[in-house]
Amino acid sequence: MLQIQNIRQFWLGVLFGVIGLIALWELPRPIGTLTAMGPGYFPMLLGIGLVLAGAASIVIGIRSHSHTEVEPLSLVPTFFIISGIVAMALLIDRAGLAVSLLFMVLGTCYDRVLKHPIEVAVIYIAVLGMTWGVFLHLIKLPIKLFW
Amino acid sequence: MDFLQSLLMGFHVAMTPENLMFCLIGATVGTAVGVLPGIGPVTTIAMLIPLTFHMPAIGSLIMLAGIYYGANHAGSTTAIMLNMPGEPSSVVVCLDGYPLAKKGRAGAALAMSAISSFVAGCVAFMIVAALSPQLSHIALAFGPTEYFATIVMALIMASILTDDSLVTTLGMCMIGLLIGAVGTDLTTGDERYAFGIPSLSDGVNFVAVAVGLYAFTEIIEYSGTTAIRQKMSFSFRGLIPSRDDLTRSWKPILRGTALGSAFGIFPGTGPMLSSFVGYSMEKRLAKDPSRFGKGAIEGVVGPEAAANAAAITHFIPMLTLGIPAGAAMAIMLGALQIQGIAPGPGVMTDHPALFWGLIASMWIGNLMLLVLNLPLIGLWVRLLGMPFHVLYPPIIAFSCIGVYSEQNSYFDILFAAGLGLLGILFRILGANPAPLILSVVLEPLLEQNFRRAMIIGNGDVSVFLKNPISLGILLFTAAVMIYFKVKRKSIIDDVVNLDDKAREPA
Amino acid sequence: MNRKLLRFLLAAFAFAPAASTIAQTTDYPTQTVRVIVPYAPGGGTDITARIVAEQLSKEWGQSVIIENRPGAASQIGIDFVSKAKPDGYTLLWASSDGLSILPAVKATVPYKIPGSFEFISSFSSYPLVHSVSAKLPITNMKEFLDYAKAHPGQMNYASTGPGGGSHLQAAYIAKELGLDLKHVPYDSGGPASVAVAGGHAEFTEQGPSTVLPYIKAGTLRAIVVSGSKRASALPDVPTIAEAGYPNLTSDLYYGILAPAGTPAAIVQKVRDDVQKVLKSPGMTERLNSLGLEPFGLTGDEFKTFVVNDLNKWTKAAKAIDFRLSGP
Repeated sequence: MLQIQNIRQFWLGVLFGVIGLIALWELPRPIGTLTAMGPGYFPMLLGIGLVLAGAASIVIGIRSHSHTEVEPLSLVPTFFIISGIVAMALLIDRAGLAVSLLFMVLGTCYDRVLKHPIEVAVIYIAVLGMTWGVFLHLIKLPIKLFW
Repeated sequence: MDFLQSLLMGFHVAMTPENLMFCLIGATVGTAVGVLPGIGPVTTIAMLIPLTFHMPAIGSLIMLAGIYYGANHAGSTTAIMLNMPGEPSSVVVCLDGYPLAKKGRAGAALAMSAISSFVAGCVAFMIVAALSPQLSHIALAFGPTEYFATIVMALIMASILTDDSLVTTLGMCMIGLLIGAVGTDLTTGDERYAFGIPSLSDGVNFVAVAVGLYAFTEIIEYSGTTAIRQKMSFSFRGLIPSRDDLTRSWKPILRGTALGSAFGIFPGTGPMLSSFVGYSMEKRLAKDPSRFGKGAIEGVVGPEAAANAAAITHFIPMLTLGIPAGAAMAIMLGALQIQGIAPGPGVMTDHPALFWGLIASMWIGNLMLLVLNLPLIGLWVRLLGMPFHVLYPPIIAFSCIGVYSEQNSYFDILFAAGLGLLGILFRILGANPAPLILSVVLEPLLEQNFRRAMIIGNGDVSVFLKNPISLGILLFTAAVMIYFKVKRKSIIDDVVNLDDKAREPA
Repeated sequence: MNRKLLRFLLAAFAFAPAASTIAQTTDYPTQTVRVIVPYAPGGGTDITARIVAEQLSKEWGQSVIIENRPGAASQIGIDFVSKAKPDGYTLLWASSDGLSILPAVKATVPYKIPGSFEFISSFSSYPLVHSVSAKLPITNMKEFLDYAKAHPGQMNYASTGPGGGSHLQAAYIAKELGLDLKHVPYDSGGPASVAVAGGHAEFTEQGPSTVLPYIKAGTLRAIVVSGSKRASALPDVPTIAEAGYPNLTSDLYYGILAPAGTPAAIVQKVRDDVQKVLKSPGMTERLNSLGLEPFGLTGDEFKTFVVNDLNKWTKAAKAIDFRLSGP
């Protein structure tokens, strides 16, 4: 039974390979030649390089003697925080700063909303006040406060 | 003497109450903004340029320069306290600054970094003043081949510092180069990897990449913890550096200054690369390299001095040649021209008051930074007494809006979120994102110069070895690389997973 | 939270689209105006844009900022404006490169001339200065010809990008004089000039405002100018016709445009004020010192000129069988 020792190096290799293959699959055309490079020439070199790096990395991962483990990661905060940021991105043009920030704060403070609702509300108002003051009032970014 | 006279005139210009005020405003705003992760000097200068339209030329340049080096300096503050680099050049300051903070020595680390910045600033200022008149022809010697070699050096040098295997580093570099290649090919105008998304057709937003890979990733990783204070015990007794800190630091400061001053002169390299190489140099020279990554003061002051010296000598190619040496300098160049001054060899002869006034103001600005930062350190320390979950909604909000403001594009925030996920993946797999982010910045320079070098050299890849300057750069790079790999293999083994060790609670 | 926020709320609720459109045209500009320059800072396009932006800023009491979006012989920046919101707050400062040369030589450009734009006003005309590295033993057109003939395939010229005037003019020279030259693309005139000044390429065709600092510093040498008249800032440099090649003559221009669909009242206001800037005292001297001539066509006049110029370049490109394939 094959036991992969350096599991990080192995999965990094897979990641490199996948990105390299995507780059080659979506390669911009024309490629051109070394003395007359098209938009695809340099990405082609990179794609090939990544596939090679990926293959090497996988081989090293399998044959390596140094043992590594994958860092544990809690999926819950990743999900909520990224969702909060995504919600903010999607809402900022349509619903304005106030609403988009509300969703962002709800997402990032997911674990405290139910336990400490007042604290979260205070954080929200403080963040809204700060961003309004700096970005809308002072720097006059073209962001609406409301929809 | 001609040079002294010019310098005196410069101080005369910079010391007017009005210009002193602009310098103070610039340094203060720059510091305040630099402390915020995700909003670096580039964004700040870009945002504040409209303010300078109604100001006199010299005043506006003094203020923007103040923002630039103020932000450069302040980025280290968040790096030390939060393990969040305020901008790319302070990435390495995290490596030892943050462990120092965890040992309760944040105050000393901040004070030493302020002092090293000041010393480096003073020396670099003298270098700019003394060398500018002679430097334009040295920089002219850099053509496509030399640029390409320099960039390769930059990427490989950055890899020396990371703990990853060579294959991992190369892979990370190539991912970064691919991300940098997204958008319109600058030479042919064809779109690449834009997938029909309008804000990608202009190329990726660098601020979004930085925020995604650093700020978001960091926050997600910490979100489980309740307060930073639990991770670090701050105390004010540590604010004053010990005698030991000073004796350990004076040599690294001088070395970093020399290195940064030299690197800053070359377009394309700059504070970030200088800080990276400065770190690896200190580690290489240290008697006990194993202390690095665990809170060695040399690992803070060396790169800090190098970055600040480079931030200032960076003005040399811009003021003498009109070549912006980095994104922030490109925007400064814009500010210069808004005032109707064409950059290039003419600046020094046609606008001596502006040139020398700006140079003198850099020194004054550095003095102000020293005076400004040391008393404010207490404020930053107190800021960290706040529970982490209170701190990160505003950090995310400022980062998101900062990203958004570059192009008023909500997609850029989405893009940053996506890179946040990628950053999490890299963290799980223990790969350092630093070479990736450097590659994103250097991609256009690397590709365009590769292209030009191939045209001029008729597709002969060996031009890079035939050209004496590029051969010298590549040999130097290889020598450093081999030296490091062969003689210090033990260090690499020791640094493996340095990031993770640094993150473990003390 | 204060009166401003209250006003904001009131404005949000009292939403009246008709009223706001009228207000827009008469009050214009009520916010910062962006002028996109499709080249990096330091070139002639950029410098002239900044001169005008500075004056408009004073005239309007609003910030007029320059945003540089270089790449692909100015195509990237021009394309950006053609897709911008036509509200008068994003304007384009372009040169012949992207307006009448690139569309003549490239199979597809992402914008249409004249359809994608409102033509506000042209501003100045300029020649291309045929400049060689001062390291070369070339002082006139004949020496250039001899040197190029003696070094076939070794003469590189730096351009502002494939398909721009600086590329086409050099290709034109190569074809007409039967020379074997190589094209090294840069994204803007500034870096291209630096490369030639440093001896990394042999010559470049650039607007006078781009190369004047290098000529003064002695790192570039002007051989001929492409214009029908000598450039006022380079009175000793002959025109290309005087040097014996009248069919290589070309005059280029800078002008300001808005995305198609920009309200006529705004276009008219910008036009009037740009004309005012052009006619302001001292402007002719300032332009002359940069090697430029005032050239103030307005509206349809400007549009017709651009369309004719485009046809002229299309014919010229066809005559030398110049097509853009690869860089």
